[in-house]
Order: sequence, then structure tokens, then C-alpha cells
Amino acid sequence: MSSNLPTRILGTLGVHAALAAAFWAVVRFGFAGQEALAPDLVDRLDGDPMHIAAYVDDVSKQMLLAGLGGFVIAAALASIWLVLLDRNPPYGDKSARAKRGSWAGLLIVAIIAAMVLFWLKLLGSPVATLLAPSVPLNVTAIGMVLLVIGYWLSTAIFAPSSTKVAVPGARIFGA
Amino acid sequence: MAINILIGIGGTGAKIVESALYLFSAGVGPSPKVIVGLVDQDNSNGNVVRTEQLLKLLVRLRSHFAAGKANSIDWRSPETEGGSTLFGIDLEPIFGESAHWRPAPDNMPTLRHVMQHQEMAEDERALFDLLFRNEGAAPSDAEQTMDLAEGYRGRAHVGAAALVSALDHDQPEFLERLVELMQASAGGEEVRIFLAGSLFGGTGAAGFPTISRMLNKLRGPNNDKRIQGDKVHIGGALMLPYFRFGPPGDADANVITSAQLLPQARVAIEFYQGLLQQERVFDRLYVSGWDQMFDLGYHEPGRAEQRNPALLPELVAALAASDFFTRPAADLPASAPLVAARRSREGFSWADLPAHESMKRTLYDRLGRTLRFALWWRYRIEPALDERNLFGGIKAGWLKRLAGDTDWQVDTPEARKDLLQYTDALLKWASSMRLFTGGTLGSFSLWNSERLWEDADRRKPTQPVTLRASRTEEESMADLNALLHPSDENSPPVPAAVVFGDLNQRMVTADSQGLGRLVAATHRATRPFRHEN
Repeated sequence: MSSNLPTRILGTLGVHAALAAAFWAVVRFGFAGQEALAPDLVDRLDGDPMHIAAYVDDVSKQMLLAGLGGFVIAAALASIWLVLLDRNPPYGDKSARAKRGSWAGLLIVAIIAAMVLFWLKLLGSPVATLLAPSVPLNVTAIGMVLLVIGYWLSTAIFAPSSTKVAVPGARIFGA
Repeated sequence: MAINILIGIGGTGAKIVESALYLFSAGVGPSPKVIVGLVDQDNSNGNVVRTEQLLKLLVRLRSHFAAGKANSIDWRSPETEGGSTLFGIDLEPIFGESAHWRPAPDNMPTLRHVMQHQEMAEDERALFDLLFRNEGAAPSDAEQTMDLAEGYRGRAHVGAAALVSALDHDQPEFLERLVELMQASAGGEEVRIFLAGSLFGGTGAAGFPTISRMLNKLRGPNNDKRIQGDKVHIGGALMLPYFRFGPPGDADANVITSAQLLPQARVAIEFYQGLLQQERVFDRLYVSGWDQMFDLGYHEPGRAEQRNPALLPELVAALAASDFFTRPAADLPASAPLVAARRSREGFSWADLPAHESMKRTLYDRLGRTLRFALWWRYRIEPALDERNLFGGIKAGWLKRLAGDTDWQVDTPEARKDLLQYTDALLKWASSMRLFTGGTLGSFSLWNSERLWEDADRRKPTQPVTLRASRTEEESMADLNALLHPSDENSPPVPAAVVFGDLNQRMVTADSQGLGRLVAATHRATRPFRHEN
């Protein structure tokens, strides 16, 4: 293990933590109100603030769990990629570019795993019936976008210089 | 600061100088400068020509990457701050443009001409006939009328007579130049002169004792040349027979044969024993040889065809030159000749190269690094420089960063061409040593360049190894990882992935500029160790 692998992994976790915090903020301030609930549910509750707040808490918890789970998976996979690089570093430009395959593969795994999580916690769960029709999709879309950004950003910044060429667009970070 | 002068006498001397030049180019040797001379009667001797070409190539490379140039390498800064040792030792041919001195000019093709046989008095001619066989002898034994154009052909006494005449009368520029350099001692400057040659054969056997004794006389007390004798040190590397030729094609040819080498060497050793006892010619004399003969399998009397492959004993002798130039002056005097021996008959490793411990470390690091540099430059960097994107820019980001400010049109093409020629020559030199050592001394555990060989044939000693034209990235990785045998089994050289990783880091290259920065960075990245000390 190279001496700076722990630093790289910590950096990767940090980037994902920052984006998870951004996701939390979006959910907390954008989707944690009465307008996020399905209109027929609000009607059934007769505008009872106590009940509405309880439902909002419940659905936002599910949204956050799905999102944060996705970020944990993405952070883990980004870290695994860095460990793979550390164990099997490139020895030339072609070999560095060839690392793009494993990078993309792990990103796809992260996306699929996060999609499954969002499906289980949000889109395909009973919670979806409690939410306004656009909310589950919007939250999932935002979560997925932030997750992809997190994976890309963390690997682009913290991949060794010799391997930055494997991460599309990483040159802006000084490849 | 000392004036260091390295003189190779004869074909073997030239080959020792060749090995020394490779050591100096890698930074193993004295700083800041070595003046190089070659003495050979055979104007077109392949060994001498090859060494002089190498010297000129190194001089050109120094010039390409000199301070103030757009492609400069920083040789002044310490290595830890990014300074480079590659081509760091300044080399200068003894006559400025040329390093080669030929004792007898073209209009003196035989010893008779040299000694002005026609002008001799009757008694002088009788003595001359007594000492040197005249035309009455068999053609293979004639000495007075032997054509000197191809050297002295193993007849040291003929060479000694011709040389003394040339040094004193016919071609005095060599001695005059040496006197001029030795006169720097009058200003308090130390002058170190190292002679390299063989104890067998013709030119070396004739020139080594003749020139060394003449230099010793020049530094003697009360000399009239304004030379301060105690500031002038004379060292030498004397090679015992270590290779043999095949039989000559013409049985009557006037040449030395392998069978004559050992008896001739025995006589020469007795002569040197007397010389060393009677006159303290050398401050330090190194004697090198080999327990088994390297078989060259062919015989060329001289001329361009006598281009013998580089052999390991020459590297050992070249290390003697490096040792002589880098020792403190107080440590130079050695009362007896210095002899090196390997630790085991089974093989030869870095530990067997004769050098004190710190020099061994430097040798492994610098020569090993330069070999790795040569491989990486030739097969990875040089081709990558021509891989361009749609806009004509270099593709690889790390190359762009290291050589982005290079002007690819002016000066750089010549520098690249010479660098490629150098890496090619260095790898062939190392390959030749490996090829010809196999079977002669067991395992060769210094380096292994076999993966780079397109063709290798010991039966073609003038061109024994052809290198592959190109290598894939995967092949280069394996080539580099296999090239250098570790000097310590517990500390193998860092693999290709680390080299590539380093090239992608922001490497310290001090004040190196343009292509020089890329060269310095690559040389630094290919060093075998990462723990600096």
C-alpha cells in the first residue's frame, strides 16, 4: 500500500460526505414540507399540522436513507477503485487509460445499487403513495446526479496523477 | 579542482576509455571535467574510432543541454534538489576537436622511415639491423619494413622505438599538449593523468611504459618545464591478456596470434616488475585481467574491422580510472599494484566490481539508473514525443507538463537524435558485455538486456547485438523490471509502475529547461531506489 492511499481514501469519503450533506439539505429544505405529500393524503388529514408533520418526517427519513445509502455505496466503490490502482498501478499511458474500464464498471455498479436502494426505499415502497407524484422521481434524480458527481469528483481529484487520464475530464484537476 | 586526463593507448586502451566514458556519462567519476586522449598508430582502428565517436557524441550532448540553452539540464544543483548527474561530467578531447594522436604520420609507413634509415651512419644501421629484423626475414617476421598503418601488430619493441621518435621529434604535439596541461601544477593545481592500455599486443604494450616513463621524467625534480612534480599524479590500468582472437586467415600474416599473447605477457610482466622497482613511475597502478579468455573468434590485424565488442574486464579497468580521479590526493600513493578479484567463480555481481563501498553504491545507482533511463527513453519517451493530437500538441499530459516549453523545431531535433544514439550505444555496450560474458564466467548478475535483443550472435563480434526497433508498453514494463539485477536482493530496483508514477508527479528538476527538464526527470524517475541517502 502506498503511503498516501489512506489520504486518498479519506479524501474520497470526504467528497461523498459533502455531497451527501448537500443531498440532505436539498431533501430537508426542498422536500420536507406539506407540499411534498400527496394532495389526497393532506385532504384526509384535514390539515392537521401534527399528523402532517409526522408524515413529512416519515417520508423525508425514507428519502434520506435511500440517498445516504447510495452515497455510502458510491464512496465504497470509489475507494475500492483507488485500492485497485494502488495494488496494480499503471506503467504507461495505455495502461493508465485502460483503468477507465474498471472506473466505469464500478460507477455502473454504484448507480445500479443506488437505484435499487431508491426503488426499495422510495419508488417501489408504500411511501410513494404518500408523496406528491413528482417527488419520488425528483428526489431519486437529484440523488443519482449527486452520487455520480461524487464518484467522478472524488476519483478525479484523488486518483494518482498517473491514472487521472482514466477519469473523464480529470485533467481540470491537473492531470 | 584537479585537471583529470585520461589517455587510452592502443585498441584495448580505447575500449577502457569507452567504458570510462559510459561511466562518466552516468555521473560516475570526477567533477567537473576529464580531458580524454587516444593513442593509436592505426588511424582507422575500429575500437579507437568507436570510442572517439562516443566522446564526440557526449561532447555534443553536453552542448545540447548546456546552461543557458533552451533545453538545459541543471548539473549544478544537488540531486536532492533536482539536479541531474546525467552527462554531468564535462568531457574534452585532448586536442580540442580531436582526441586521437597517431604517432607516425602517413609519410612514415615503416620503422625504417620513422628512424630515417637512409640517414643512419654505418654503425647505427648495424645496431638497427641487430635490434629489428630487416627485409631478409620471413614476411611474417619483418619488423623494419612492416606497414605501421595497422598498428604495431603485437611487436612492442617496434612500437616503443616508433613512439619515442614520434614523441620527441616527428609528432611532438601530443607531448607538448600534456606538458601544457601539466604546467597548471605550477599554479598549485593538481594534475592527474591516467593511462590505460594492455600489457600484451602492440600499441598498448609499446605505449604504456614509454609514455608513462616520459611523463614521470617530465615531473621529475629540477625539470625545465615549470612542472611542479608533487602536484602531478600518474595512474594506470594495465590489462593482462583477457581475450583471444581466432587464427589469422593468412598463415604468413605479420600479426600477433593468441598463442603468442601469454608468453609475451609473461615477458612484459617481468619488464614491469623491474620498471616498478627501479622507477616509481606510477602513484597508483591497477592491474586487471581474467582467469578465462573471452573468445572473440575472429582475427583482424587492424583497421576499421578491428572493432572488438565491449567486455567486462574493460569496465573493471574503467572503474580504476574513476577510482584514481576521485580519491583524495593523500590516498593516491600505493606501493604495490592493485589487483581485484571476484568473490566466486560461479558468477559476477555488483559486489564484485572493485570499488570502495560508497562508490559501489554510487555506481549501482548511477550506472544502473542510466541503463534504465536508456531503455525507458528509447522505447517509451522518444516514441511518445511523436504521438500528437489533432492540434499538433503532445498527447500525454505528463509529457506536456515536463516538456511543454520545448521548442520542437529549433535545436531539439538534433538533441533528440543524439540522445537516441547515446541510449542505443549504451544499451549495445551493456548487451555486448552480457553476451560475451555468458559461458566465460558463469552467471552475469549486473544487468540483463536480453529481452531487448532482436539478434545476438557471438560469431559476429564487430556487431554482436541488434536491438529491437520498438516495444509495446507491456513489454517495456517487463524489460525495465528485468534489466537491472539488484545489488542487494532485499532491495530490488523499483518497478516500471513507480517510474511512470513519478513521471506523473510534480518532479523536482531544479533549473532544467525544455527537453532538458524531460531528460532530467526521466533520469531521476528511473533511479533504482527511492529512499535517498
